[in-house]
Amino acid sequence: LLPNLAARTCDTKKCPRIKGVALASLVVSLLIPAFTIAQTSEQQIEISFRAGQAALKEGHFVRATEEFKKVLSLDPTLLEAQVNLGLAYQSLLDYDAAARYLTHALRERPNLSGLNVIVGMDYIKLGSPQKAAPYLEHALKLDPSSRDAHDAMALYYLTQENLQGAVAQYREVADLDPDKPGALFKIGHQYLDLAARLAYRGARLYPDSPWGHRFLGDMLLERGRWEDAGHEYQKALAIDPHQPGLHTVLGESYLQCGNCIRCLANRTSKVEKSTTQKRNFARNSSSIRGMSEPCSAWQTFNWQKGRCRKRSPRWKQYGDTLPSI
Amino acid sequence: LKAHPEFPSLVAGKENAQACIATLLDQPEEPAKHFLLSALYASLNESALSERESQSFQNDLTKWQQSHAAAQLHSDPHSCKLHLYSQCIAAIEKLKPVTWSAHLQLGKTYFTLQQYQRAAEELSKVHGDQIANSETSYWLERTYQALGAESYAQLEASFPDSWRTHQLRAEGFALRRDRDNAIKEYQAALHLRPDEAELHEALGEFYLDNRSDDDAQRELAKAVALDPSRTKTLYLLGRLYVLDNENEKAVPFLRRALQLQPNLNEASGLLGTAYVRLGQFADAVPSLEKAAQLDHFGNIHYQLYQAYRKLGRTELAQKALARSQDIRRSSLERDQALVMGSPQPEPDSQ
Repeated sequence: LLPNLAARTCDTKKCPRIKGVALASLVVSLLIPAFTIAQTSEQQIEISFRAGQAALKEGHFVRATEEFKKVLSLDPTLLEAQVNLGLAYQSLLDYDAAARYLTHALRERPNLSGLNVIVGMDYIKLGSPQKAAPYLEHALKLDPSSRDAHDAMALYYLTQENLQGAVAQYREVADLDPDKPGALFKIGHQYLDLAARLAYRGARLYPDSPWGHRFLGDMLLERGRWEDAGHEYQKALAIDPHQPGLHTVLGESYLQCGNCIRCLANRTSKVEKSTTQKRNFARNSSSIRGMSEPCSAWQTFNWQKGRCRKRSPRWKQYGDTLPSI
Repeated sequence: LKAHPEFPSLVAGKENAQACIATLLDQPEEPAKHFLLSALYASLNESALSERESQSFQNDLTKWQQSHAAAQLHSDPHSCKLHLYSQCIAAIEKLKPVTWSAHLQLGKTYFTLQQYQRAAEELSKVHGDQIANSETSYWLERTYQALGAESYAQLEASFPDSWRTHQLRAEGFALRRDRDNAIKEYQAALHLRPDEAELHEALGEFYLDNRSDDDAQRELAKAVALDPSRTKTLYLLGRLYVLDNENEKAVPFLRRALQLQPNLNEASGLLGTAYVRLGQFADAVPSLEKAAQLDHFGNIHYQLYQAYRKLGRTELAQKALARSQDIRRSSLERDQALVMGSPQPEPDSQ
């Protein structure tokens, strides 16, 4: 199957679980040390706190913030209210306010793994990945099996252009994911996203490089856009006529779009001398001769007899399915 | 020099240092000359000159390391050029130090051996010159593609009847513009997983890309009903309505998508476009400015031009128009859009 290189940033395919971290499960219940607060205040705190919790539960997040602010005005040190106020802001997608209250709470109670992930994600969304890193590292230290934390860490690495760092996190997530088909699907897409990201970066950093045109040609070839692919390979060749393998792929694009004369011209180019390239030449040339199917991997095309013949055992030994480099 | 504190320090008077410099400048080019010049300039507090010489020294050293590594490789009769890959790897791994060119060669060799993880690791270590980096970038792209394809092959082989496999097949058909089979596979996936918002979203996007707007609307509405916080679904609904010139309908979806994911540039661009069409030029500008950095087709800059012009900001309007025209002349941006899988420009966006 052809890969889909449609780029995905942190959208629903990458961050569903992070986004879906059950905020409700993080909502902290009220445990008020009774001796520290006068009876009246205590009652007011309890009433507002419970109202805030109820509002959170019902999805009335603005009301929840109001109630928790009331609590904090009576007792600014009440950690539970800070956490819940932060979570209410999180639900309102006010990441700045959420991070402010949640980091405050984490200073008091740093071992709340889920909150560390949320704060880390908030900082990434706010465009401050450097601030996110310590929270995500701490979250992973607290719970190395947290897929949310690994997902978030992968995003952090992407902001740092550390693609292999992101890969390591993707693999952790895939290993931890009990839904194996889903894990394979996701990691497949993640790899393709990385390829697209690199290609995009390459196009900006090396605008005159033949490799960029070659990659674009490869992508077009995979999509069956033979002629467009051929144009890209030609651009690459114009810049570097001696790049190994380039004439092969250009020939393939011509072949696919039916331009056999140009295909042959390229296939017989002097720069194509490796065994693998000869194999490609033979395989594709068989199509030129009007054969319904090209020779198989273990056959080669005999020009004199105009048909496929078995390859020597040495071919099998070295595995000529290897691509050309 | 700071990196080599083991070098003994010596006291060189100003005049001595200047005399040494004069002598050295007449000497042939070689690393030692630059090394000494760097030190002498540093002793005279000529930081810029010292830095320049230090850089020349580093460049010479790197060149020497590369040629040394190449000579070592060349001296091995069973080297990489003969396609004897295991021996090639063994030869490279003996090199000390392993230079970036060796990492590149190793990466390509592992790629050829279909050991893609190792290939990616080696290629990630290459920090060479511009030409090498562009080649490395290509091979790393291909490596990640191959890793993706490996995962898909494993999915297909191990779980041929899972809804994910049907989804993957559908994407493959969609990519090859095989509309009928793509829809068939999406529907097979949905048969197994009818309440999966992601599937409805994917099918909706496919319909949208093929301009079956009613079908797209139906599927995307299902997706958003199943999961109201799916950023991509919200963005796609916004895109659908912008394409259909129902800009008022588009705005809330795009705003919500941007609340969930503030860095979603595509949504910013569309939101700005919707505002321009609604005559809300002041609202449009921040969204368009944000999206302008990823303007593949010049349309965002064109919208910016319109917004600035209506707001009386003539100079900015002219700049935006010029940039829009530049982008349209450049195939690079279109190529990038293809790589990133960006949607094609809207027909009426000038």
